[in-house]
Amino acid sequence: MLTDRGVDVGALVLARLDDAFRLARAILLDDGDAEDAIQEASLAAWRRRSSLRDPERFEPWFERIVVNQCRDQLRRRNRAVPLAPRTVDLDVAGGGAGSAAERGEDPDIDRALAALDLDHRLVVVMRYWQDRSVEDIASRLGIPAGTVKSRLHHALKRIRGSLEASRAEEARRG
Amino acid sequence: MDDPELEARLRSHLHARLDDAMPSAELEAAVRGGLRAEPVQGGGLRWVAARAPRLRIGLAGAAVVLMALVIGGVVTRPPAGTATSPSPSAPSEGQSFIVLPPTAAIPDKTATEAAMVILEDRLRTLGVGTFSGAAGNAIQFEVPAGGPSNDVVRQVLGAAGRVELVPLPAADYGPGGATAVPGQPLPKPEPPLFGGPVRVVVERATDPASGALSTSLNLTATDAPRFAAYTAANVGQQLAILVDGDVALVPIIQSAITDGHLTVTSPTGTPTPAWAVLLSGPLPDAWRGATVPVLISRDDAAALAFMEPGVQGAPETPNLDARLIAGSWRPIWTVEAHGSFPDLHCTRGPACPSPSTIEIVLIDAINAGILGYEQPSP
Repeated sequence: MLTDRGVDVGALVLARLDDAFRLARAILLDDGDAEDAIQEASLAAWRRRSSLRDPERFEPWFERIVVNQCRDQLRRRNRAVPLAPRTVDLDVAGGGAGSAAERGEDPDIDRALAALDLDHRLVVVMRYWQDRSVEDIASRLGIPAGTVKSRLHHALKRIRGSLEASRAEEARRG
Repeated sequence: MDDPELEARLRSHLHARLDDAMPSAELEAAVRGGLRAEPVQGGGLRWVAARAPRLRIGLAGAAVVLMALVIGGVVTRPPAGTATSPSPSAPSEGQSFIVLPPTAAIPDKTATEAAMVILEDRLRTLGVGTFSGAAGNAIQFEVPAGGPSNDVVRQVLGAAGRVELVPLPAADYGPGGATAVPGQPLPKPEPPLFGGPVRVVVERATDPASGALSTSLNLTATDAPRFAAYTAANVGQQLAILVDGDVALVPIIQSAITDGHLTVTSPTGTPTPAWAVLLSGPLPDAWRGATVPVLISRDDAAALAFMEPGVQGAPETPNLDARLIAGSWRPIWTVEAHGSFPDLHCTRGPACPSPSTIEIVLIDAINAGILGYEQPSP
């Protein structure tokens, strides 16, 4: 595999492929779109490899490329993100993985996240899935920490509103 | 606005949703495999992305995506023996064509402008309605999809335009004998008049009365009297007009032509490359023998090198692309002062590639001069 200034970009991309796919999936809410974004990101990483000065910084560098590819992917779609993930887990009696609910999956949260725009969903994913600090998120996204806090604040507010609306709808149905 | 309960719920959900999510094997294979070379009809290679099939939109829709976005790029020369006659049935994909001068010497501006006009005329004759061109040290055309095949376009752009007048003896080409077919070489070689190529000036005019297009091939003052003597003695005989070895027309001599002006009738149907070249005339000497390599994009080359096994430690050069491919593609042309036009000094290296090697030339290097690489034969 090609090395450039001692950086084996191809090997680094492959080593980060699973995490990159998960991040893209969390942003795009669609497995196929996430795979497209990752494939584009891997080529983009190669093309821009000269901007990677420190191999130790590959992970945030590639993550930013993935996020940008996800942004492009959404732009290309030119349509709203579906309000619910297309992947539906079936509860199979006796299944080793257990039900979606048992695994901690929450369809109301799914809908609430899907209703957020990319920027707000991204900070939520980085904060609560990647468990990153506000400062780390700000550094990785190249935005001020105050902006991250603001986005988190508004995202949580909107998620809470969505959850309350779901509860009200369930109560109305009895 | 702390909300520990909501935050815990989000964490639980996201980990449940994402921690075990895995990309498909197809994605990993596509990333690992990058691009693959695919032979094209008529010779040469193109690089296609080995993109994972998207089952939800159909295998055929996304199995392979051509990445021929020529925004800066590289060109390859087809291996010898593969790029022969054009294949008119091959659909044009629409792309850039770069006409490289025949030697490392840069043609002067006058010759290049004259060549540009001739090449534009050839494309119009072929029926390429809208295209754009630019000339520098190389001549570049952007030809839209839907016209003649890329092989045909390459053929007319690279044709020298040598015209030969070849008598077809009735003994060989009479009834039951061989047939001269426009667009193809003569099935049975015959010696040309005057021992070789002739210089002709093509004039085209429209008859104001009938509207018919009239094409006249005007011989030089030296050849005209010799042609007059020949035609006077061979009325009724077939005379093939060959362009770069291919038949463009097979007129029958109706009468002695004493003034050196051959009036010919345009062939019906789709113009052949030979006819298009004949009408536009030969290229200036400085451009005769130009090459029109197959183009692939720089991105494709990048991905190709990305996945190339055994490529190690490319040397530092001022040109990123040069560094990109220098590991497995060795330079055959070098530019002494890349990016500095006036000081450009371009030489063919001593290890000029044999025709069987693949040659890569970077478009942005072409804009600054010419920078070439070849992949050594295995």
